[in-house]
Amino acid sequence: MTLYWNQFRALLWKEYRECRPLFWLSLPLAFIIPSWYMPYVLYQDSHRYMHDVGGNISMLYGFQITYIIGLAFVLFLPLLSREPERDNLVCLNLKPISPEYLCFMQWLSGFAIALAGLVFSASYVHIVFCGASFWKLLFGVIFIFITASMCFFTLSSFTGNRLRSFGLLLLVVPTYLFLSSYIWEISRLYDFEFGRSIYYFGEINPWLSFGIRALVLAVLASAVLRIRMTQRLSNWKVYACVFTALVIFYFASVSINNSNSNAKMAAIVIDGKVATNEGFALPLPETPSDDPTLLWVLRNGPSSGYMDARHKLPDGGFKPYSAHIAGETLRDYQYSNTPWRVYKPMSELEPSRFVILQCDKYGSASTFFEQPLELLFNAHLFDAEVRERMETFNVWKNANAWRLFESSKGGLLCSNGTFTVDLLREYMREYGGDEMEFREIWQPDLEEIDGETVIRETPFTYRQIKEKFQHFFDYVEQRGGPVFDESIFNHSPFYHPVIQTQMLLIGHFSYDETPRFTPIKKFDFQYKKGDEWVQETIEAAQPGYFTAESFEGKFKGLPVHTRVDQNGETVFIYSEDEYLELPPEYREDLSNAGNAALWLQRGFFWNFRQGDSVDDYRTFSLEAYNKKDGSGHFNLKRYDFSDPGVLRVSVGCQLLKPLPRIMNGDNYPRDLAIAIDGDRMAVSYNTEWSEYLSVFDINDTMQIKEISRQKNPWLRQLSNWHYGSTVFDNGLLYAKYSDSLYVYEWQNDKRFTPYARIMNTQFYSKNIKDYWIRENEQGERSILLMDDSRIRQYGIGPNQSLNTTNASTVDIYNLPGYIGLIQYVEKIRKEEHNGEEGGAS
Amino acid sequence: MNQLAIDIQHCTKIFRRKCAVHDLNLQVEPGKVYGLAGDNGAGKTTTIKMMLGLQRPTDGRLSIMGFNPAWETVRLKRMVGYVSENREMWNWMRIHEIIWFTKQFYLEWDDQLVESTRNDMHLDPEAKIKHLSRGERAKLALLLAIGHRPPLMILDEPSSGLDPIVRREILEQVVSLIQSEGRTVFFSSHLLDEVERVADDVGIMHNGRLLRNQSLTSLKESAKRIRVTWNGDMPEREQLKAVNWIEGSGREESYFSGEFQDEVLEQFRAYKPIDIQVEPMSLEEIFIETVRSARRGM
Repeated sequence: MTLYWNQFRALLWKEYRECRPLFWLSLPLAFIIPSWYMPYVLYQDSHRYMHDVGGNISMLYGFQITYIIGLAFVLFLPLLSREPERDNLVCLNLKPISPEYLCFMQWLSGFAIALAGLVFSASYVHIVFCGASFWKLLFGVIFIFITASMCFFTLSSFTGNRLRSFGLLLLVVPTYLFLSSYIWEISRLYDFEFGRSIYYFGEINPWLSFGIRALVLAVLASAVLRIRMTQRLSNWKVYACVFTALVIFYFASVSINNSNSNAKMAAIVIDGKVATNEGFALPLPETPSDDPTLLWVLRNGPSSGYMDARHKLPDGGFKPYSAHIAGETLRDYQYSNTPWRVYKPMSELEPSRFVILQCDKYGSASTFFEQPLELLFNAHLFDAEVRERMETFNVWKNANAWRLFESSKGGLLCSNGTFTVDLLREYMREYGGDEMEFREIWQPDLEEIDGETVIRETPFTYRQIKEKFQHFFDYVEQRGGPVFDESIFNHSPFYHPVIQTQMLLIGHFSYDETPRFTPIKKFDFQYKKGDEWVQETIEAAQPGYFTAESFEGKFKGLPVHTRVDQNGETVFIYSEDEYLELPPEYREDLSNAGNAALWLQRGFFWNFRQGDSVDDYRTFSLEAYNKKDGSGHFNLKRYDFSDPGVLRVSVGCQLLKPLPRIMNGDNYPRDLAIAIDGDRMAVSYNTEWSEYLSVFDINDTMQIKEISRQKNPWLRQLSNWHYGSTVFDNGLLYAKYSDSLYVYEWQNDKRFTPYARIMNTQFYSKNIKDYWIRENEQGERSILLMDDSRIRQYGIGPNQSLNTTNASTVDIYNLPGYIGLIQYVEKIRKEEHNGEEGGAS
Repeated sequence: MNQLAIDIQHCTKIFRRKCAVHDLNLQVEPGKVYGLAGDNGAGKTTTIKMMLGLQRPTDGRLSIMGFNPAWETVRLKRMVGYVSENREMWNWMRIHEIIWFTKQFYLEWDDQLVESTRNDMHLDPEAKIKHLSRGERAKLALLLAIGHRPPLMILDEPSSGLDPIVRREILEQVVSLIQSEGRTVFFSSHLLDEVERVADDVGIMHNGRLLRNQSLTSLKESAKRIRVTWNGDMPEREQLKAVNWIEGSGREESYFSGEFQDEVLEQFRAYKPIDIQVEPMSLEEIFIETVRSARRGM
């Protein structure tokens, strides 16, 4: 033992002496890089963050490859300064030490040197920032370095040149991570098709996972070094056996982990209650019409996305609906910035919801992704003529949007004769609707067009639908709902679609004891034309109905849309007469702009995508644009529904003080995440060099006043915030990014301070699909966070701290069937409710 | 019967198409000093690397101090003191540092021996290796090789590149340090005078083949130079057997006989030369003529 210690001591001393100059030089650098990054780690690792074994590892491993490489470079830098590996090996080869042991000692000593810088830098950050996470952080990073250094020394042994090896390492590590991610995605697709769970590589105990991987690398490194030192792998059978055993053990542990997951879940405590396996099953619908037959789940991986559609089976499980859909939607989905959504079964919609439906001639991919309900209603909009045309038309690329917005209260604003789910449900409950027919309506057809598979819209025509649902339409009409008038669809010229004959049917649904529909009688419209505010009032032809004639002559010169030209400048697209003066390249997108009704769709609803927020009676849409001088501007649209009979629209409420150039999105500024709290609006946006979090006063309908602007203390990279994903709740601002949920605290009406950051701790999986802030019947608030495979719950304590001690995790992949967050919330709610009932009895 | 210190049987090493060592058979008894002579590329270093387990023989069997180098490298290296041809050392180290560093790899280390030898070699412990002369570097390599008192010393060209004085010092130290304690020394060299000076047994390698392998005494007895003064009637050189023409033309010629016997002289006498003289040869001359003969295909 003394001999081995002496050998290690000698090698360690030699490594240090060889790299001593650069070692001391690297230390200041090692301070800088962690300082850049570790605040993220420390905040999320503080008492506000759920303590999770391996959480840091996965985060560091998957979150910032550049960070790892940068840190690795700094810390491995000293090792590059030593003598060439080939000479080293020649010298060491003469010593009475086995190649395997030498490999291990050499790696260990080099690793210790590299780690020293990390210890220093971590200590520094530890002192400066936070006190609780030092050891955890350290051990987390150690695992990364084990992997990296193993690779490094394996390559060094192989190439005989450390500099070259390091260069290779820089290539190998990202490639490895990329491939891991890619393979993981593939495996998930595999799961999709065959229903098997083999994608859990990151779900086994990360310590075990890393340990086995490190051992595999160690075996490889030893084998390589032995070959290099003795020109042979004399005991190759031993190496092969060990290597094979490790690989088998790894996959066995994955499998065992999977099979044990359900058992593990039995011990998960949710809100103080032990959940059982059976408890996670979705309840079967009591009647065929009582529950939806399908649950749609969209999934998106780090490098790709696809849609997962499943039939709900009688046994409560779900069957994959169509793999082809996944393949098809993947491509389109990649180009969209649609956030992760867990589609809600229709029965899960809460009865009292404020819903805005906006529809267009065609459904669109993005719409399709966003709300299944829209697809449902889409079927009602195509008449035979248009449908035939569409068969030769890629509906995915040319379709316009349907939109649906909802808030916690209110009613329905709809167009083109759509109806609510609840109404439909009520109708079906009353008259016994045909579930199968209902399903077929929106079931998409796959079709090969020009070598490209597209999803064709429903094969049903409006007439067919009407025949099937005439009774229901009558039912809707009797209750003050929209009247389905097929004549409005029969004259649509295809190449100038929509919309000469289209009419808007806008109304307000409320859900009290009986659904009530209040048609909107007029628009009160306020918009800014140039520097002047213009007031327009548009009366409905009949209550709820607005035709093209209603808008005739209105809104001339109103900016309908903005886009960025080749020089990166924002170009305003105007309505009506100014459209003709636009350069031809801009007209294409504006083929519909000549119609005021369409303008309502595009300018009114479509722009919701810029970032929208809804409160009890208002809906806001924030657009960003850049002027030629490089300054960024906001334009807030406000829709006031407080009077059911009047829709008040204000367009052109602008920011007085320009912002830096806004860089959200890759084309025009987009994906602004806004949240409204009273007259206060929080916006997260990117400029060229920073990400800002600003708060604006929006009390004045004509102008926006900036209250505060601060650099986002957490994000250092351009990001696309997901619209609709930012909310105020109980004094906290929640903002969802693809891999994280950020929580900010508004302090002293001046600025946001980082409150907590919840990151997905899955390996290679960054997406947080959805989150939900709920309050149980005891008044306890918690955040439910759903990522690719789990739902995690964090309690929000009375002092607004995230309660991590009782944080719980549910593994949704192992639930019987595929459960969405909303279902889960409902399930908990039902359990609580049942529990209370049981207790009372 | 004592175990052989070195026992190499039918050992062959082939690098791709080149045969570096061909069917080598070599045995060294304990306590002997064996000198392996050979020209550049003869296969000396390859042989030594195979002996140390640094290279694997393509064919054949090796036993060094009873160990198989292929499998028992670590144990073997503990029994062997090795000075490589290039004397690989970390140039940034100081002498006392590399002594300390080397010491850490051995179970036993004779500090006293190392210190006294260092003093004898006049090596400054604070001197950096990169500042050492070639001679000092060679001495240091030797010093590091003897620290653990190995029963077998393997020296690969220990004195190459050194001036004659240093070379002699090195050799004397090798002899005094090792042989006096009855240890076995195996060294390779293309400098025949040093081999001749210290070796008990000698091997001559050429082109991967061991041409001669015998004690120095018997080698010198069997290898002779024959000077002949012809009387006008002389044979064709190809007619003479077991000899190789060395030099001369016309009346006076010299021939080399690797296996000198009376029958060799008889074939000369058949042509009634004026004079025949049989002269002893130095090891260097034997080596040169042996290699030359091999090149001529004898």
